[in-house]
Amino acid sequence: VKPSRQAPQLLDLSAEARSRAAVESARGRNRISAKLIQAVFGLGIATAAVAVAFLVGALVLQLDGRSPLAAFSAMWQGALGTPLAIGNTMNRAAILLLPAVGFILAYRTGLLNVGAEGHIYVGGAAAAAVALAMGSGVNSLLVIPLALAAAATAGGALSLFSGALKVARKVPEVLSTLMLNFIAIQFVSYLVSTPGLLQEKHVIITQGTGYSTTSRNFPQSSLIPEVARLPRWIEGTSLHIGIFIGVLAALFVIMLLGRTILGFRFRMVGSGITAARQAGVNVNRVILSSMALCGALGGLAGASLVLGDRFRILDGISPGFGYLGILVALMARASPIGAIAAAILFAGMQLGGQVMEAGGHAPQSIVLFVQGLVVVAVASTVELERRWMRRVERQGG
Amino acid sequence: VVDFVNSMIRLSIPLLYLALGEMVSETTGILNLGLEAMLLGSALAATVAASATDSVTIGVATAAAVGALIAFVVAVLVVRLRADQIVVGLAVNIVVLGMTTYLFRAIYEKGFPEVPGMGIARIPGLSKIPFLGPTIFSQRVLFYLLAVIVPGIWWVLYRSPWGLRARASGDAPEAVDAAGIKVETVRIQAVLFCGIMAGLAGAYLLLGETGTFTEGMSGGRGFIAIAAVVFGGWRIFGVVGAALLFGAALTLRFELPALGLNLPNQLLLALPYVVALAAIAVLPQREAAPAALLRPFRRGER
Repeated sequence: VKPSRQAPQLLDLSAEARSRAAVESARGRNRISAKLIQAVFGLGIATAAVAVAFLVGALVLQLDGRSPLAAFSAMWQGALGTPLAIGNTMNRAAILLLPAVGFILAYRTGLLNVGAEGHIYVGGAAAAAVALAMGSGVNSLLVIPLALAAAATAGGALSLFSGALKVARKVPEVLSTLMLNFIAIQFVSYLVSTPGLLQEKHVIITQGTGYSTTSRNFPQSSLIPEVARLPRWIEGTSLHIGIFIGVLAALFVIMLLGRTILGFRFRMVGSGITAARQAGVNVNRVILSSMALCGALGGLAGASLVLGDRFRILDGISPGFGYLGILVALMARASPIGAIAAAILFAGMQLGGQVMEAGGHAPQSIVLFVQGLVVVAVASTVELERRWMRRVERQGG
Repeated sequence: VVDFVNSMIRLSIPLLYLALGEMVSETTGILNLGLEAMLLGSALAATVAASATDSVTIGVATAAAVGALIAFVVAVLVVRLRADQIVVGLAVNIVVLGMTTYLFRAIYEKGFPEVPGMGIARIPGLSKIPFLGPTIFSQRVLFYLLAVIVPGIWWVLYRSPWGLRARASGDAPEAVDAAGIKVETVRIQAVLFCGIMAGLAGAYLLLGETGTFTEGMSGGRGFIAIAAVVFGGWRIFGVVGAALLFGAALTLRFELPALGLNLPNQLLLALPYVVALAAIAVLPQREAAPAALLRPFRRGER
């Protein structure tokens, strides 16, 4: 059976690899070993891509008259050099991992949901709204789950809207999710700069000796109460349970796709809408559920950002974490386990990049450049993998 | 009204260049999501070249060349290496965002450069016509160039052999291949054209409008242009109309407050995206998209 023409190309290769794995198992060979080959190959490509991207980055720094070695060792220090740095990196990894697994879930359903940035914004705003509304007189065990649920609902609803536009009006979800990112960012900006909505009440800035005070309104909400902040795991570091939520989400997506009927339907729609419809799958419902779940995961990233890191929602709270999360998913070639590793890598590069810039070694923007290159490099190996897989099959068969 | 139409046309020009280039690229089956990257890269190139040589023409030419260069990389990746078009687009956008931010700071550590501006060229005689004069005939040269480009694209796409190949590459690449024409060559040419157009858009944006480069200044214009292609139904006059409509939405941001309408600034900033989304959603459903859009071509396979 040939996959549908609309089958997403990035996965085309792993779908192909999977079908080869199935062929091999039918021949009585070990199915696990075929999967293993695929995983090792993916890891090899990712490692090579990272190496190439870092080399290009080093070349740029060298040409600019800087020391790549000093820059990258500063980056390493900032990423994983101290317990404090590790904690920060893991917290950031959570924010990249959640949208990444959301993207993967939608991707496996054949959908390109690039709305993670918007999901983060509305999710963060919803979490902050719940935390602020409930105040400090409630139990953490009540307010945190409620805030997380609100964030997931908000992100899910935004994404569901794109799904509905696709189902009802055939609007390509790539476009609608992109447009909604910009709209969501402005919507949250409106919420946090409008008194009576989410804007912080009278900020008083005391200047000098305290005689002159001015009141100014920033586009941000008040700080959320202590009870609503994500619990820290290790005293003295900032490590909170965000990364735990992220890894759980990755496992959830693996189980959902691999072990449940709903997940099976997702994958059926992903490998061909016509075939799925003829097999009796309610394609529209599957698209809507997949979009909603994807948005919910992105919303949780917003909650992790608000409840774990910034303790408030503010204008411009995410400088593109959603897009970076999608890059994480693409680097991992839509594998949730791979996404965990890729999220930690990208988070470390980002935070390490800040240290690198602060130390005067190199501008942080080089990090973005290298991260993009990693994904370009991974994406450019499609043909390579096809040929390689063919050779494996010839030798095996 | 004169002011409104004038600034609507002004703000539509980058969108027109972007959307027309994208339309040609999509016609051959390549969705180029890297428009943002091309816009940013060429805007920086225009800054550097124009300020170094104090020549607008060299700035525009360099911008077009850089747009083509980025397009060449994208074309090799998606056409030759058959990488996923959306993935490459998203990644290239990030690469160029990082690169331009880096370069801009590295080159101009000591302060912003003096960039020569693209002057307004009033057409003698015609610019005296009431209404049409101050709106259509008082624009920058790159606008008048569109008067050549739009019919040119129409002629090439619908009346020339290359156009037939291009349209067939997007709808039935197998047939093109069977006719002995290289689909890959046609697609690469189309993406390169798209890059040049995006480069001109970047040059206009910088030399004609803003005058200074800022990080991430493309600000989603590339995505709006892609929406214009969809809303325009992949047809040249539809795409031109859509770009003008979205340009009008951009203009409202400045015009509504001037009319005394007190709307939240955020609503005005989101307006172009709301209009674009609504436009596509209310679009009558028709199958106008090139059949092979997003599908890489491999010989001997369907």
